[in-house]
Amino acid sequence: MANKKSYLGEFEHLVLLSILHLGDEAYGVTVRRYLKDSIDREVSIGAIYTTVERFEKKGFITSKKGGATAERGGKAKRYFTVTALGVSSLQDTRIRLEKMWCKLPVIAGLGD
Amino acid sequence: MTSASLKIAKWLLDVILPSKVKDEIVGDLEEEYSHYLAVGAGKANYWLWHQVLLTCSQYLFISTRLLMALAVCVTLCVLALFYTALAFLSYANSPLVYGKSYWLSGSANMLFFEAAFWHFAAEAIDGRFGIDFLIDSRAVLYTVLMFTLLQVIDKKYPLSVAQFIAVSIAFILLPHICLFFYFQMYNLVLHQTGPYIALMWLSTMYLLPICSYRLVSKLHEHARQYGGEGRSLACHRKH
Repeated sequence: MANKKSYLGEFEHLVLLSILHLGDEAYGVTVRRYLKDSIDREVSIGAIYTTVERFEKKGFITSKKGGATAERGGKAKRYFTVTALGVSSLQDTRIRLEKMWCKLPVIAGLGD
Repeated sequence: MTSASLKIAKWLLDVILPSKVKDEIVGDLEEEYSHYLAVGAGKANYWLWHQVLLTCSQYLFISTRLLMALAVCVTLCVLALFYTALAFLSYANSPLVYGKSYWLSGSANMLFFEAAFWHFAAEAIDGRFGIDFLIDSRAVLYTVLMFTLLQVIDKKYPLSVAQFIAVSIAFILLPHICLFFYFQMYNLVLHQTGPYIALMWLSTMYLLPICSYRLVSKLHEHARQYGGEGRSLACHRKH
């Protein structure tokens, strides 16, 4: 049961890391661009929002409305912040992934 | 043209998106769109519509929630249909119903195209209908075997959502197809057909809800794993 609680899917993992990297500037546009610029992953804005909605329900992030600008047609930004629970979940996932990678034998293209 | 394109896109998003994310998504798209406009209107419009269609499909067409709702609705409709058919058969006692040739040709599902069936359906459900009509040991056995086989296949060769649906439908339709050919090969008399029709309909009634439940679990798993990036459900496999 504990495993299920802390397990993050691959896309969830990436979105949560992006929000952490972006810090105070994490909102839909910047998260999308960060994924594109850093790992060349093109995603829809809808995919970001369905994922962050799920994170909010799980308590992994919180969000707050920012200021509205004319460039955005007068619509407010929604800034995301990773909670302690979200960080803990990321750490759990990282530890598990590292354990799996460490156990790999040195074969072509994998391991150290 | 550019302004009209943006207006139509915003209208579409306004209609489809849930209110809690509507403003943020429209604002984000408008912000990025204005940056793409600096590169060129063509590229900006292509980018905008690509995003709008993916986002709408995210919330509407490919949405796992929609598929879950569809799976539940189809299951309930099919269960209601077969329940009504069984109630109708226990209620109807007329040569007008049992005199039809499809009972002997293995095409019992033709009953659903009979006007009399739909006319008396409500009355039949209200009538006396024993629970024993809903129990058939062979249908139970078939359901257990097929569901176990489905689980084994899914475990050994992880099925995508589309593959899971296809295999489930094949298992559900198998008794209907086999019995159709059985009826064609052996000339059964009317009183011999009852147990076979019961096997056909009840196995569907047992297997469909279980498969739907597994499908909904699979869709939950899919949404959690991939965050629903608008890619085809058929592309993803369970890891």
